[in-house]
This record gives sequence, C-alpha cells and structure tokens, in this order.
Amino acid sequence: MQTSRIVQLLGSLRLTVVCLVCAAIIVFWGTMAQVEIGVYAAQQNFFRSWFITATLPGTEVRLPVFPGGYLVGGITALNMVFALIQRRRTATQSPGLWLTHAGLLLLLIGQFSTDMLAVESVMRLVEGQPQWYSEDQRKVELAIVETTLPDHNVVTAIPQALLARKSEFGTPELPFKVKVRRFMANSVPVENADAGADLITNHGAARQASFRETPHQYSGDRRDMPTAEIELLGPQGSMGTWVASLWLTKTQPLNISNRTFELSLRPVRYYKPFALELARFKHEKYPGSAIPRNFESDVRIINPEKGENRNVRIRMNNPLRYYGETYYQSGYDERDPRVSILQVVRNPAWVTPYISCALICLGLAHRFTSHLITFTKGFRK
Amino acid sequence: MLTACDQQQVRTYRAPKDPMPPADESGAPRRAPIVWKEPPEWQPIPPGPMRAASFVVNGPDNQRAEISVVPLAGQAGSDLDNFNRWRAQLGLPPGEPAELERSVQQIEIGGQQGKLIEIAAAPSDQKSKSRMIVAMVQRNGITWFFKMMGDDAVVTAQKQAFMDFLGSVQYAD
Repeated sequence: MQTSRIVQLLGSLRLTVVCLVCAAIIVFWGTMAQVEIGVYAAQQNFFRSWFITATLPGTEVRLPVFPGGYLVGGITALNMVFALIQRRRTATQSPGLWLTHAGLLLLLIGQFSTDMLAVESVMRLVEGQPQWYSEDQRKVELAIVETTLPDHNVVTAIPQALLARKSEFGTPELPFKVKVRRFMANSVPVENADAGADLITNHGAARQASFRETPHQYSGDRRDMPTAEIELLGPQGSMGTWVASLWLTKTQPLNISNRTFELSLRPVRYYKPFALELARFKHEKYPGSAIPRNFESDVRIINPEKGENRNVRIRMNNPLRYYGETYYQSGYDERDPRVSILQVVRNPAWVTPYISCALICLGLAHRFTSHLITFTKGFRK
Repeated sequence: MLTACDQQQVRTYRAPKDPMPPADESGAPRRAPIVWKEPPEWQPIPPGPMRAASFVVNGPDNQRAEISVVPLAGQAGSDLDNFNRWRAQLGLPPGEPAELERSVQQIEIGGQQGKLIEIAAAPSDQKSKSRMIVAMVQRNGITWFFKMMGDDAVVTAQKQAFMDFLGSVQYAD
C-alpha cells in the first residue's frame, strides 16, 4: 500500500510541477548569486550539487538549504520514467509521447554525464614552438620532474585532491618520499615574515618566501593561488622542507643521488600523444576599436604515433576536432602577437544534446501531425 | 605517454622536454629575462628567492630604504588587494577604492604600460614616518613589482633615482 502510494507520487503531475518550480527557483537564484560569488562557484553550488548549501551565520558550518540541480534533475528524470510506466496504455498509442520523453531523459542524463566526464583546459601556442600539453585553469598538481635523461623527462604528479589530504606519497621512480605538511587552497605571498605569514621553509627557491592562507577566489577572471609545504623523506630521514606555490615563477632544482629533479606546484597538465605547432596567428579587430573581428590560427598537427604531419586552420566558431577533443580559438596575448590561446574541451557526452533535440523534435512532430490528422478527419465528418 | 587525467591518483609518466621555460596557469613563460641600471649609491644585497634583486640605500641618522624587484605569476592579486597589503606593511588600515584611484599614476616600464603607487604613513609619534613607492607591470603572464620602502626622508630623496631605475628597465625577449 505504502509502496504503491510512493510509486503513484513519483509519477504524478504534481511532482512534475514541484520539480519545474524548484528548477525555476534554482536558475533564478543561481543566476543572481553569480554577481556575488562568480560563475564557477555558482555553477558548483547551485547546479552541480545535490543540495544548495549556505553558511550558518557566525560559523564556517555549511548547511543544505534547498535541493540542488542534480537532485531536482534526478527526481525529474524519475518522475518522467514513472509517469510513462503509469500511463503506458496512453503512451503505447502515441510513439510521439515516448520519443519526447526519451529525448528529455537523454538530455538530463547527457548533462549529468558532461558534468562528470568533461575536462576543460587551455593550450597556449607560441609561433614556431610545438606544444604537447594543455593546462587546467582551476586545479593544480605538485610536479616532481626528473630531468636527468637527455631525451625526455619523467614526471611524478600529485593532484590537488591528494595534496589537500596531507598524506605521504612514494613511487618507485622517486628516491625519496613526499610528505605534505600543509596545503593552502588559496594563498597570498607575505614579504615580511612578521606580517602574519603561515609558512616559512628551510630549502629551495622559496627559502625566505612566506605565504598566508586566504579564502577561495570566486571572481571569474581570477583563480586560486595554492601553496603547499612539503617535506622530502630519504632513507636517512627528513631531507628538509620546501614550499611549492603557484605564486613562484621558478621551478626549484633538487640534486639527489646524482639525479636532477625540478619541483613545482603548477596547473594540472594534460599531455597529448601529439603536438600542435602554431605556424601563423592572425588577429583582426574592427577598425578604430578593440573589438575582435577574426582570430585565425594556422596550426600544424605533429603526431609521431600516426606519422601525421598536416596543417589545419582553427577560427572563431570553426574549431578543430581531434583525438576526442575540441580545440576552440579562445584568445590571444595582448602583449605578444605571436601567441594564440586555445580552449581544449574533452567531452565524451557531446553528442547527447543533438540526439535529445532530434528525439524531442520527432516526438513533437508526431504528436502534432497525429492530432492534426484526427482533427481533419473529424472536420470532414 | 600517459594522457589519462585521474585526479585521485599519483601519476607517473614520461613527457617531452619543455621547448621553453615552464609555463604558468595561462601558459606564459615563467622566466622573463630583464635588465636594468641601478644607481651607484644603491648597494646590492642577497635577494630572497622570491626576489629578482634587492638593494639598500642609506641616509643620515641610520635611516635607510630598501628596493626590491619581485616577479609573481599571473595577475598577482587585484590592485586593491595589493594596495591594502602595502598599506598594512606601513601599519595603515585598509584603504577604499577611491583612495587607490587617487594614488595610482600610469608609468611605462620596459615598453609596457604599468602603474605607480605612492603611500606614506605618519605615525602619531612623528619619529618614524615611512614611505613606499611601488611600480608594477605585467608581461608574459608575470607581474613584476618594483618597490622602494623605508624612512620617509630617504625614499623621498631617492625618488628620482628610483624613477630613473624604472626607466632603465628592459626586457630581453
């Protein structure tokens, strides 16, 4: 009895209306919140969350205050499935109804998959220099790069999520272990150690550098500048502490057991099995203004695995699709005319919105034409 | 070569040697060669590793000022954040945006358009008045800070030398 009531509720039109109202509130609230906390944080808190949370006044405790995008989307999807099951007799007679609902479901599932699987990064190309990687604009990694070998580097990268856990890491490739003593998700440099610095280290390039932890940066055009205090542990014990920070412009050299390493906290790098080399960058503005009219990057794809070496042109609204990634012309460097900046998007679910829209259109077209035919027949009688 | 991007595991992979110095978050080079000509009365002192150079200049009555050149990655904070950080170093409370606007002058450094800010602090005892002049300029994703800070009399006397120093800055690339 109880179960059947729940099933009935899940398929009810009342729940559909509640979900739509909640979705409208989330969209309005999330859009307004972007003014205060920026686009990224608003997306995370309102749309890519199960619950919208707010800080309890006077504390740092965050409490759920309203269902988030995932919860409302998930319930909407369930609502559609149960509604179809409950009204299957009506639905069987109308393939258009099935198609429309299948399209809507796919749209919701596709968006969820995009959020889970898509990776966005930026590739900066300088004329005449092959580029093998793109860089994340939000996440960082602690990179320990062995530069001993002449033809390639060996990189050990510890991602931000693990740094934040402040654990100890070791790999067979490293002659030492890395212990994260402290991690600041956002920090500012403090020149004078007396002025409230949190970190002072005794080794490396940041020997006299000090940093203070600060709240997250929400502004759209700025990013958090993390800092980590790490200790290297050799077979004989501690080898000292180092500070790695996104603020530091130099990598820190280490010489251990006749092997050379470079230590840095850097944006996460996504290496490709191919390189892109910028042959020519064309950047046109409307006369007498700074408004961009056209960007064009003539790029050479160098893929040693496939023996590929060919030229492509990437323009605004005309991206390069290669190796499961899309390369959009996204920007330029105001100070260096030889530089082109590409937005790199890997989204395995990119095709789902197109299929969803096609299904919805087909379903609606079928519903409309079948109603039209019925109406016309009735009119003739 | 590994292209996977699992964010929950330590990754070890082979990578090509960088064709240029490592990049910051926007891909800009991390080292920007820079040259300048400092006045002869400025004495170089060992720079802290965050600093590209440090100098000290002495005045009468044990008064002194320190000059530093600091490169930081990216935008290195908003102008107001920096303004208030410097005010805090002089023992002043945070300033308003309007105050910052009044303090900023445009300046050209190494062919780039930069900003010059001057802040003075006069404590109630009037014995240790201090002053700071900071110039900042962005180039290739790096913000360069040129700062002179110290006793008011020395900083004021050295202001022209500091401006000449800024005028001598050249970027090699």
